[in-house]
Amino acid sequence: MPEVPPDFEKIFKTQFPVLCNVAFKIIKNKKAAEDIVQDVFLKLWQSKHKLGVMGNHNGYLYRCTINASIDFLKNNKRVIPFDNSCQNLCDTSNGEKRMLEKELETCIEKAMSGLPPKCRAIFVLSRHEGMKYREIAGHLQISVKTVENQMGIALSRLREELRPYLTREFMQSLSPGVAPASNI
Amino acid sequence: MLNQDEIIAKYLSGNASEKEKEEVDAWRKVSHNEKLFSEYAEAWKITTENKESILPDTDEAWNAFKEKKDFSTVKRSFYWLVAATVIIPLLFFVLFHKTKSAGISQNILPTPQNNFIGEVSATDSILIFYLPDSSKVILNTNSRVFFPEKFYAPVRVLRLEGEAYFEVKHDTRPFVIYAGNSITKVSGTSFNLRAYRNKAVEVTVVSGSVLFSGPEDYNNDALILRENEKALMDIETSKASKGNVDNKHEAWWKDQVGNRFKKFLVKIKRIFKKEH
Repeated sequence: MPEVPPDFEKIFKTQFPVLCNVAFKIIKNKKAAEDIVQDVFLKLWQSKHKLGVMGNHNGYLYRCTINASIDFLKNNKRVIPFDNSCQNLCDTSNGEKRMLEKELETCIEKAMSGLPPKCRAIFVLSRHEGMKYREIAGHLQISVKTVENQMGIALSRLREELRPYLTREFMQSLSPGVAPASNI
Repeated sequence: MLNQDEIIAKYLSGNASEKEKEEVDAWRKVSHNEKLFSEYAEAWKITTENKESILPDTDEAWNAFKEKKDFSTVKRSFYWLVAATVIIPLLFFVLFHKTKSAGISQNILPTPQNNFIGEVSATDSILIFYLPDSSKVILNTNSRVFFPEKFYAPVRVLRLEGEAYFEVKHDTRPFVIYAGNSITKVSGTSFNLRAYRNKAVEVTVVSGSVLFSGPEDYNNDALILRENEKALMDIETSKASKGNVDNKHEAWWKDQVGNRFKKFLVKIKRIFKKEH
């Protein structure tokens, strides 16, 4: 039974939480995100086992995690449960505002999960991970042109979906934290 | 050339070049565009990361990983080996048992022995099965049928040793059976063919019509048999001649599938016939 070299353990312990969060941002499912990363490490372990090489595998781990997350989305058409339990919302004084916030949140999540898996992953990596197009292209092994194209699709679809919430009036009814962006 | 969505996405995500930024800024100045732009910007803004992040239990994950990686390398192959040693003989047993045991149900054809010929033999039980063209065959005990894996040729040809009842699927390709010194040619009928070694081949038509002949008469002199007619093939001369249907239910044996007592009777009957 092969012993795990200490540096592998180090890689695992530092990268596991990071990768879990990357997967989680894309797929929005905690349990599945952890499983995905677990599998990614197993894959790395097995190939390493065969190849007998140790090195910096962060890029590989990242790429595998992202691709596995996309595959997960492809295989699991997720249904966003509408959270109708407003008990904890209504007992606050500004219940209506929180309801609106909640509604917006649900709608954003719904709009995001409506995007095609790869498109969604690319958007998340750019928007939430702050990755540059070039980095995304590198991780997913696609051209920068494709990233540009997919980002365009994602943005235009989100704009379509969320249009009812993009009016100034709606935004002003929410907390100042989400004020309308008249200027960038 | 980038389209509007793409260039704005680049702009908002901070991937636009200086030139592209200028382009967008110029575009925004055109009437109504600013409103459109603010929609994009707003959509971008509200899809901000909600600070939700997860804090997985890394130590637990590590322990799980350590277990899994051993399983996936050493144990997995071991389990496969165990599974294989159990399943493969079981499979053989089931297959063997199925072909041996009374043709309880209508077996789809067993896989052929080699690339060219399939063979089905019934030893001590009656067997029902279907040929590749979905013609039904009921094979009497101690009988064998040989046939190609698939009927590619313009003729469906098979060979019979012993006795079988056929329900031939109607088809443009004639269905030809070689049995002993006889050739039986049909298109879509049902009939009983009896071809035990050293005995005259007998054919009894149950429905439709059948052409029955020796090898020489096959092309122009074959005997035409209709419903409830019977013919015999002379062992010496290979000439076919009509006979009397002495038993209206010549193929009665075919209904005896699975009945051991009646099968016993069939055997007795055959022995008595030999002694006549």
